[in-house]
Amino acid sequence: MPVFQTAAKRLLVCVVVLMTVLGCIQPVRVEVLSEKEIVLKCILTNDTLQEVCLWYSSSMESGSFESFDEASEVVIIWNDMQRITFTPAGQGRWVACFRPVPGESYKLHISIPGREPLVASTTFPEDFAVYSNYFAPERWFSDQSQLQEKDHRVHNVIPLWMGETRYAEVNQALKQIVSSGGTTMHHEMPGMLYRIESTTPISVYVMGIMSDTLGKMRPIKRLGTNHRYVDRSFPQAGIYAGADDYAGSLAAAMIEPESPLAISVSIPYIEDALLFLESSGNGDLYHYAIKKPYSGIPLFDQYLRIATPAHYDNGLQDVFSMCVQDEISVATSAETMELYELNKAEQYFKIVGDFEYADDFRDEGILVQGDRPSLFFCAVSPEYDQYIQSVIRMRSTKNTDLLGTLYMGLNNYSNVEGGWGIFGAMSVLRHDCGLKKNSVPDSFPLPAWLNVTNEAFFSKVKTYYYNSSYTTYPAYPSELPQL
Amino acid sequence: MAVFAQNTTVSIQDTLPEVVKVAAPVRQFSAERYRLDPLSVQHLVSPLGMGDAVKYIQTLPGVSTGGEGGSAYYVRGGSHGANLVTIDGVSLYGVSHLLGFTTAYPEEIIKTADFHTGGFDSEEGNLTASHLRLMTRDGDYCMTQAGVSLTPFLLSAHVSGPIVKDKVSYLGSVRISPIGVEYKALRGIFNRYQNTLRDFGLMVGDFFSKISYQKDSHNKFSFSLFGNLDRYAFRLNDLSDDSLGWGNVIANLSWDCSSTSVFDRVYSSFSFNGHSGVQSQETSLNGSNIYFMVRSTLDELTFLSTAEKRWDNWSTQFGYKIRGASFNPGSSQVFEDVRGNNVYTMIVSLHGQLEYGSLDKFLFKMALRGNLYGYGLLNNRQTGWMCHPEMSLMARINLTKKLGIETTVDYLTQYYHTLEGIPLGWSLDMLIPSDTTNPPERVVQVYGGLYGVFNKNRFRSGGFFKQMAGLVYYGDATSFFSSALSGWHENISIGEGVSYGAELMYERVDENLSWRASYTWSKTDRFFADLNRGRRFPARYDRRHIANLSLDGMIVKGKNKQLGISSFFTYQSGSWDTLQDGFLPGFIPIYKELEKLPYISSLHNYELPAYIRWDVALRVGIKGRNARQDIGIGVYNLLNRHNPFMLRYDSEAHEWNYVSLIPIIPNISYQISF
Repeated sequence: MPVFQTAAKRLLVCVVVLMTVLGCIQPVRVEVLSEKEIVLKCILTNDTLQEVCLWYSSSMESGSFESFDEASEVVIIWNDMQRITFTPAGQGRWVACFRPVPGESYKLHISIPGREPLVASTTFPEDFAVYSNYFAPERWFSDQSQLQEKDHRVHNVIPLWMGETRYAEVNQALKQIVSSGGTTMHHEMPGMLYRIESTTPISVYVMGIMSDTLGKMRPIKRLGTNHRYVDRSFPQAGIYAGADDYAGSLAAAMIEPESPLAISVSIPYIEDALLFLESSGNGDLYHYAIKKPYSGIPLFDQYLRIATPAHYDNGLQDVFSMCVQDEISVATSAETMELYELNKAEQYFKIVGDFEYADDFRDEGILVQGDRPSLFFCAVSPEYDQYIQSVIRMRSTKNTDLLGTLYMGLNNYSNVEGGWGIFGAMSVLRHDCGLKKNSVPDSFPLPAWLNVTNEAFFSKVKTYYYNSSYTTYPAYPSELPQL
Repeated sequence: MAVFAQNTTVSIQDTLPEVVKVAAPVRQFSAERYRLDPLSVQHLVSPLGMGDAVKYIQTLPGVSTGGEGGSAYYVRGGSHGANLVTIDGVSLYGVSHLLGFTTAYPEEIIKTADFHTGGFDSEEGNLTASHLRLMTRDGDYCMTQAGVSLTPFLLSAHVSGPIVKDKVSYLGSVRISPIGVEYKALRGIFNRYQNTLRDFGLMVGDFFSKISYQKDSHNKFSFSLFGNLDRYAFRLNDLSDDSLGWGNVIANLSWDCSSTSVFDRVYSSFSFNGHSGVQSQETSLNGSNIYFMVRSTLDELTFLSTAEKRWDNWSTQFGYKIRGASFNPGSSQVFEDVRGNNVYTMIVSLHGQLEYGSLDKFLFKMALRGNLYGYGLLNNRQTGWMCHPEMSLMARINLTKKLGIETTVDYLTQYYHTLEGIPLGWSLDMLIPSDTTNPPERVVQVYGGLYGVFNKNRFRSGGFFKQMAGLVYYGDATSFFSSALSGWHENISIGEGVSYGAELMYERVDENLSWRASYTWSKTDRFFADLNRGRRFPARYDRRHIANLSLDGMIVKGKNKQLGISSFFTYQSGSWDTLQDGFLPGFIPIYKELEKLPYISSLHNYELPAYIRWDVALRVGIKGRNARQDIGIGVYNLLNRHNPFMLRYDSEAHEWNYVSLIPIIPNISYQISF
């Protein structure tokens, strides 16, 4: 159930108030005289097979789109001289084999007898990279246990290898989950951080897919992120609702104001935490732990659109992660802070989502992998970016016939001269998340400032948690599946 | 209700500046300036009973109305946000109550209401279409007066009187809407017709308070406080508790000094002006209470000072105005800190004006204004400064004692853009400041015409041309009701427009029967490079013909009893809506299935049927020894014509529909004053 009604439905309330009591709806005969338009779709991808599709527009009464096969020539031109001619494949499709070059501009020209030609241009996105990294499993509990006791919520953000006094309680909660069996990890990408690196500013759409053991795929319906440059103008679907009390956890991350590590930061997502800190007398000086929970961040329908600047700026330049010992004591000098942690805070971001991460199971003695999420990072050309945004907006309002006046101001974006549609480009990287619940990687670096006397304790922790192997896969070029 | 025996004689205080009195015969009848008669305003029939200044303005030539019965008005092709409304010189941004059906201030506090459409004075700035200049009256310095008025939609009371006789006076007014109570009483009937809306509640009201201190015959100090609030709360199908609303707070301290050693008059004021619009929703998800809020605010601090000087046939005024503003446009609790997304701006204006006029012969005026505008100040945002000159010229020449010609030229700049949602004049429109991405709106307007005064008959006719640049088009009005509003900058386009037309007005003013006929022919278009495939299209409220006929008369005029009648008839060409031609296939990554997207060959491609409305009201006035009572009974839209407000497509029946809002509405009002 979405938390928020769509904008159109809420507006409908106000108009219904007036209309139900006062107004009137009367039918009218309207004649539409415009001729059928030709609609083009061609998205160049990092695959070798490229496709052009053409349709007619439909009338208001019609429910389907008729394909258009009458084009006499479909060519792509680049470098002013090089041409690729597409071959008709029937049902409005033309295909050609070539792989676009990053940074290259392409022009599509379609000749149609009796009509003006369709002409459009696009540029294939420059290469970009997606790095992922593992981070501490601070939220490896089912929602049920998190909501049970307040103390657990406070402890959740403290890395599990720290604070012996906390360990017992955390351990107890973990045992509960392991023994219950079948509980799934909700609402969170399992400890993965991402970093987008690009030499040029790009718009990246992030989409998620869940694959089951039979290879069947389904989309992840809602995604959220703490990346500062995520597009907020999409109508959002809901709010990430984990534990609702994160003020306590932030208190655990707070530092003494006179500490040399006290740095003023500005975090937009945590108003309640700001209020808490200001009222607790620490002014606006606090540290922000990147490990903190994400309750209250918006979830978007199916996509994240991140307009990232060049390189790997996640907008959290002034954020530094920190490690906490016990309750609110801190490392006392910058040298003891894990540089690895600092770098991650400046560059990495998390992705959370409304999906379930299924356990592996045994089928006739054979270990079968449970559902796993995969994320697709799609860098798109500017034209395709505008097109996707316009389609998503038009899509979210089309069900409300009553409000045509208001959303008709929205434009169907098209970069096609002589027709409608889109000629764009998209470069896709796929990241498969093979992380398992209740596990930490063998290679996870423990903080350098760990007290040696605790080595035995931490050895016990490692034994408990390092009970399964963790596999990560780098993001790799991929075709975007069609569902 | 207590009744106090009082002498009902009203003390008259003439505060009209000399410059106006000297030039009054020439200024009296101008195409660019209207002095709204309070009685005519009150007698106008409106959906809620009593008329208001905005409803009156909508009957004047050159003015096109927005949605049915609402407070939106468009002057000579300008947008609704290009109209400035001020109370005692302080801008009022949320002008309406009750979803646009009446204004946010009571008429009882108004001393003068002037409506300017051109030839603006030098101190008028940050507008590009019109200025409704409201000046409040002082409280009575001699005796106490009070009044109460009742309609089914608004209850109001006002009181005025001396605190220290002849020295300090007080004027106060409060209004509140009883609709919430009425809804609760009629809830069963209401819910029988619809089951979407539950537990509807509202809080609508305003207050005004003014203390005036006359130090001596030349110096007067005033402090006034004005506030208005509209808040609507409802439960939507038991899923969530929603509310939306808007409000203003204005505090104004002023000093009016006439006859100083150097100047004839010096007026200074310091004011705070706060406007806000809020929407919120509270719901429960997975056991968590989620509270969501979208907020738009504009706070201004203004200091201004103007000096006037007259000698022979000349008069001049000059001064300065410094206005600092804090915008928080459309920030949501989810995306940004609703307290911390502020944009700070400053406008520093120096202005001067020179008039040369000969009684009954001619009047020339030149007004100049220089503006320095800064944006993105104080916090680490993109900061910039802009400098714009403004100018207004006016020339009136009486060819004979009864006939004259006049012309005005205006070059204007406006730094605040209004993102208009539903064109009913709802105060939920969002205000955003100009910057390099959204440049200020600039207008050049020229008017020329003829005017005449024959005994009690007056006429004027003329033509105008207006060119507009820096217009803002907001493409997603539905986002006003979601947190997508915080991404408003993604949905606006910057463009231009042209408007031209002819205006004609004839009126007869008589104490027994006054009537006015006005006609406007005009054409207004818009151009935005990224909309409508770069083609020009008609402005939404580009009504080709607007004809109005209003009548205000006394049927029976006795010593203590009066019977009056008011009538208003309007014929307006239909506004423009956008007709969807069909569907285009749309494609979203990952999904094979094609989306059905609306195919629109061009924006505003369908002209709705003409807007026709006839309103009639009867007034009974009974003057007693201690009090005067006025009872009004009227009918709004007597013809019960269902004037289409917009188009709608019924996808189940596969047919287009007209949607209209207001049928015939009877109304009743009662007013008593002591």
